[in-house]
Amino acid sequence: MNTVAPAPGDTHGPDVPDGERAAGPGGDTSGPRNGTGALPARRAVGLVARREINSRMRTRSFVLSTLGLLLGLGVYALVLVLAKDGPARVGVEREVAAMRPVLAAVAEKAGGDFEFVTVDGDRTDRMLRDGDLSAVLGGTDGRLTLSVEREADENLLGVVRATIAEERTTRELERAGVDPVEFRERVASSTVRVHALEPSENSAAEQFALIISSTGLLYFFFVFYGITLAQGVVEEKSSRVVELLLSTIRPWQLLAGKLIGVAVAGLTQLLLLGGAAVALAQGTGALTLPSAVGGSLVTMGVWFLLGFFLFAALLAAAAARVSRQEDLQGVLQPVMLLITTPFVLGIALLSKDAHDPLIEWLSLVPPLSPILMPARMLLGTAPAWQIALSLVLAVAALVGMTRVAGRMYAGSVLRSGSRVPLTEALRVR
Amino acid sequence: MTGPVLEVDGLRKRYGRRQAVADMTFGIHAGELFGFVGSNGAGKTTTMRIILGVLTPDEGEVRWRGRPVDFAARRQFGYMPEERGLYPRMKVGEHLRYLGELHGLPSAAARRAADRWVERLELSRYATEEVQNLSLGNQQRVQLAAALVHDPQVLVLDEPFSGLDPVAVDVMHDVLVERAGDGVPVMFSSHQLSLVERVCDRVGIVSGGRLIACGTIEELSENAERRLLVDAPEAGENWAAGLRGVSVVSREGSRTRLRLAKGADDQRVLHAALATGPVLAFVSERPPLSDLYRDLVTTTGAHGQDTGRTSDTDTTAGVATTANDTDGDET
Repeated sequence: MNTVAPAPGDTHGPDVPDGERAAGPGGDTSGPRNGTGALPARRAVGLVARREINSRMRTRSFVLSTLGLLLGLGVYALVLVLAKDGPARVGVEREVAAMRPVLAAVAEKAGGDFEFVTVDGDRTDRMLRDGDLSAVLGGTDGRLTLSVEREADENLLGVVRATIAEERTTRELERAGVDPVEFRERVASSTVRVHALEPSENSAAEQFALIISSTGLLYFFFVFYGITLAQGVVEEKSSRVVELLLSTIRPWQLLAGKLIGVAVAGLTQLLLLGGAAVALAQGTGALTLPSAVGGSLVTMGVWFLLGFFLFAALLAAAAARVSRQEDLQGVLQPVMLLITTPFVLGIALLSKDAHDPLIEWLSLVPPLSPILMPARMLLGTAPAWQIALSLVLAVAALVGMTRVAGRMYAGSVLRSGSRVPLTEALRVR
Repeated sequence: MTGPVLEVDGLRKRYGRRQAVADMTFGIHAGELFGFVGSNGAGKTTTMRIILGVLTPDEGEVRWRGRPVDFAARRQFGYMPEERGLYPRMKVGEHLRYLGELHGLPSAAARRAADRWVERLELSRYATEEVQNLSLGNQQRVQLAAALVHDPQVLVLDEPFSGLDPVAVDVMHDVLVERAGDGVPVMFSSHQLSLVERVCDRVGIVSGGRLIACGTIEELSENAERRLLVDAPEAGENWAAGLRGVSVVSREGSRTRLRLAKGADDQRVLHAALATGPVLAFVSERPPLSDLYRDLVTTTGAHGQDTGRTSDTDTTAGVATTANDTDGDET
């Protein structure tokens, strides 16, 4: 029987399992070292990451979700290709058939892909409904009607308007005794060359597609892999395996390893999908991407990592507060708001006006930047200094946030039972 | 005899308003099987978690070979958490290798160690199965293998025997005895008191966050009330009534079981018995651990489990003396 007097002053030895303090290697090597020695931090993190990668990428769900997303992309591309096949056929009724050559000429000049055919007025409705014709031009010379099934194509409407204007001009000129050909030549001699400061290579629809695909893809990955990570944290906590792990490695090593492991799995999938998407975009010619496509994939990757670590560290810290998967939703919600807000904002503002000064400022600051900036970069509307600034700010936020998240994680991950209050999770021990 | 290699010294831990551990002090010798016994919520698990560094104590420290336990020392501890702590979807062999590596074993050594323990604990059939597909008893074996895979110098096991079938209990027991034979201090908690009594060299009884008794079964029973079995066929109903410090536990036919308070003289009981006629048997019985435990916990636990403990801090860690008056406690 040994009765040792408690040493009242000696409360915290060097053995406090505290994530922050563990960084120094001094504490690790001071102990007795027979048999198993101290594990270098890098190996500890590496081991955790390797397990995480193995357990994520070898699962059926990873393979299936990758295949599913690739399939989805393929279907999308197929739709694009099918939708593009052949020029749109536009019927021109006999009464106004005289306009056909002018229509064709104007359409060609405007770059629209239309084929104009002469049709009889009585069968047009059915042909429109069947999809044989995308529009029918009819009426009389003075009052033209463009019949469509639902909505008129903007380009076609433009072509028709331009044609009418052309016809009118010709007629008025002839009435005024001016030779239309000579007039046109004279007018054409004074041309205007467009000098765009920021040339847009995409139409509005294509821009929208770019915004959706870039912000959407990143948003999807942040949410999907963030939640995967959060579930992993709770799994460790609810199965108590975390007790076993933390008796041999530090909380920050476990958290870092998990983050890296999940990020690698996510990045692999992102690059697979992103690569496939770029290949499709180039192959079908559906979108014009900024010149360096490989470069934009890399930037997507960089932003994915930055954003992922930022969001996922917070999600993991939040998840560490609960012990059951059922309670996860409640603690994740505030963090999810941080991911959802820039996505919604990005879609709303970017598709309205990619040059909106508001979006320029918002895209600089985390946590909005990881979703907004890549979209602006893909659109080619972000100057280099803004990209650099947003990267620096994001890295700074990452450093700060991971510290907070690491402390929250270390402070709550071993406390089972009810949800750990935020104040207690953050308290300095 | 050399001193204890693992010393737990004045640990205190408070969860919010609940004092989970209040001044926990004991030591475990090399090669010793130490049983840790106490009711639910008495502070056993918290103490074990503190020893493993999974929790930080509010006060006190744990020493290993005379030095405060640090992270590197803990790496040589083997730990079995109260609830099974394994990744449900990881394969048994892979899991053990992973834990071995996390404890600092090189990959090849971790593989060898995992294979060895899988075989030793009769898990070979399940090595490539996911942990979640194993029965609870087999998961428990994997859990033990997880605690042993890095050849630990200290074993701390929280409820290792719960939920095991008799064969598995024997396997577990053999392994623990074998490890203790190698000089490893083995500490485990259990509610199966008969098992603790059979297996352990020493027992610590916990109540209300502190150790109320600690020692070998003999030491514990010496200080507790003694039991006598007297077979006196002609004795009347109240033959033992007038004896000081003696109470009747039960009567079955001619046999009377008596309980002697500390200091009561068994020879006077014999005289009283002889006075009634022949005495066919007069046996001094060692009380089973379960009785010792019940006595200790009921008498000590009577004054509050959780709070108001600051007034009597000096009663720690001795073998608690049992109160004289326990008549009403048992029926």
